[in-house]
Amino acid sequence: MDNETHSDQALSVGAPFTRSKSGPLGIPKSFVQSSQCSVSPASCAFTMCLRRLVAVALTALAFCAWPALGDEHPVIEEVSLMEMPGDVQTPTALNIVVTLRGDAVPGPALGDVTVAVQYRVMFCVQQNASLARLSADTNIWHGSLSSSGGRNISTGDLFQYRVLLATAGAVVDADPPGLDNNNATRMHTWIVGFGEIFNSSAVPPLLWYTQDFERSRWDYPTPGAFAFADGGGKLHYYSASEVHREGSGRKDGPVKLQSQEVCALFVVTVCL
Amino acid sequence: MTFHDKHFHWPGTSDYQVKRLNLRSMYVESGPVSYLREAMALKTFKEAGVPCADWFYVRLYVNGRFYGLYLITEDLDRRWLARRGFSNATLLIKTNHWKYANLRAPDPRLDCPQTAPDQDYRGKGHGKARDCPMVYDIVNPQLQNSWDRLYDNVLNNFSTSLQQVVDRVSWAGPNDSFVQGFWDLRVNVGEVINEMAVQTLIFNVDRCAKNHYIFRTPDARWGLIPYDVEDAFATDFRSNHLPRSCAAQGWACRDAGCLLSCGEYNSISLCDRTHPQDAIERSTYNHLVDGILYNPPLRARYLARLRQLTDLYSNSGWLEREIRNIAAYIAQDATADMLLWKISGTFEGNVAALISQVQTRRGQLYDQLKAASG
Repeated sequence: MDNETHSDQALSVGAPFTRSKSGPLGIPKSFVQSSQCSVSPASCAFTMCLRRLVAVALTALAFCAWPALGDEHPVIEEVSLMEMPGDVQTPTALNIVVTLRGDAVPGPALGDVTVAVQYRVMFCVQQNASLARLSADTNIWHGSLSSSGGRNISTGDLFQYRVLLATAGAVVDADPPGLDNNNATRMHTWIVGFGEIFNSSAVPPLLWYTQDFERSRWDYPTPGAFAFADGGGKLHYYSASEVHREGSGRKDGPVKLQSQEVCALFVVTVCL
Repeated sequence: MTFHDKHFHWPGTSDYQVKRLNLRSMYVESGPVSYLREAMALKTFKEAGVPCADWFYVRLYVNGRFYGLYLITEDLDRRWLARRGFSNATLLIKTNHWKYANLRAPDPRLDCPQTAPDQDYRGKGHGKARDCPMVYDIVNPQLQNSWDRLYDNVLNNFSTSLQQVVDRVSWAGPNDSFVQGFWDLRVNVGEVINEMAVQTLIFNVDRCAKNHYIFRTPDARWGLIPYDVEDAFATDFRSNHLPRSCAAQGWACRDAGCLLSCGEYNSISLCDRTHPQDAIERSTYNHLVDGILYNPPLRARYLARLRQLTDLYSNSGWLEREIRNIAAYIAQDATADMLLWKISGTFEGNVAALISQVQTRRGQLYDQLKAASG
């Protein structure tokens, strides 16, 4: 799951679905999730890093410094994600759009790059997908994802992803930043259809993701993650969380029981 | 719920962050399921000035699927103490045991002194204090030496003094200097009486032993904080029991499903020595409550506060209004929860039953207050 740097993504609930606020390819600006580190160290320092704790900021600055050293490498300028809500016949699709900084603007050539996304839906096996260049004269790559591990993406799913940029087979940039492409914990997090969930009631939603509900019936801490949006629609993601039952009636009292499908491979039981 | 990497940002606040939260299913209530009892209880406590947990409702989704309407309640810890303006030197203790955590005086001769006089844990053969149940849980350690026995000594010292005072009132009277000194110097009397009066107003039937926190401020005065108050606004129906015909059972009901119409439970003296929580286990009364109710001047203060609260929050219609307001807010999700979990009745009907409880309770309170003053 995410580390501290990327787990507290403040994602606007209403804005992503206000399509008039267009960004690249008609994607709402407010929907863009991007570390600005790839633009310049200075902009990173003022748009992101100062919002973090000092220790985290220092770590981020280390990443930010990298692009400045490598003007010969293209860099990821912006990553955005857009939902295409599905229906019974057509599963929900998530469109990933990546803008590179290369020879479309002053910088290195973009002719020999590959852009890929690593992603995971719920607790299914992590997948990789290549993104395609929109056209030869643009610096935009895109791709559409609608399933993972045999499971269609649907409302309420936990979707985590990371974009990698490679030249000549070597990864030169990543978003979230960090060039260790084996570090699967460094991912963006998104709740599919969160706007729809949030707006369906005045009571705020609390989304709990875990693989081992049976364990939570008892006194053992059960690892999981939470997403919560307060009244303003700001989504907070808490990656390293635990749940366990308490109370004198927990052993014998009636509980809410429900089977949960968390991936095609797993069916678990929830008891609260 | 425990948050490790970063703490949970409490909604509606700028910087209040908590490490733990409690997620309450409201699946079983002391009446037809209304999803309102705990929230209304906490709201009433707060309105009346009793320190307690904050709360808010959530729609819980588990792995993306709607799982039900839940209530989040604040965990009482050192952050909570600071937020409520308590000194960070306040000792906060959770009452853990359903029978023994009622401030009963210990017997140091027993293997487990706090289990006196039952001695249920005697003879385990492992030596003194071994295999004893956890009666109290220290939340906010304040003693330099954190050896548990020292905390036991602090508690035992207080509960021993409490028992001495209760005994002394019977022959020396409430104006005895030792008695008065105890209540003036060792108990936050006004706060304890206020908490007792709200508990009685909302008819919380699960409070005499556990479901409290007890605290000691740096000036060595003790007080009570309510907790786990989902059994407030109790009726004669519990959702995991069959409906009862309680009226025929008389004053001293022995049926755990009969609460509101049972004279022993609905008494404004619930939790004193003659009104224990458990009909069978008669030691389950609260010794601090008992000490106040058996001290005539303090009992008079309690009755006056109870009348004041009944006027302010029940007779004014405040309770009914707040119930309706919260019910309107959660109606959609409460209905969905009832449908999902096959909870009997309708949300509107169950809310109406809660309002009926408030009205019945109001009549009981005025009747008993009148009798007590007469």
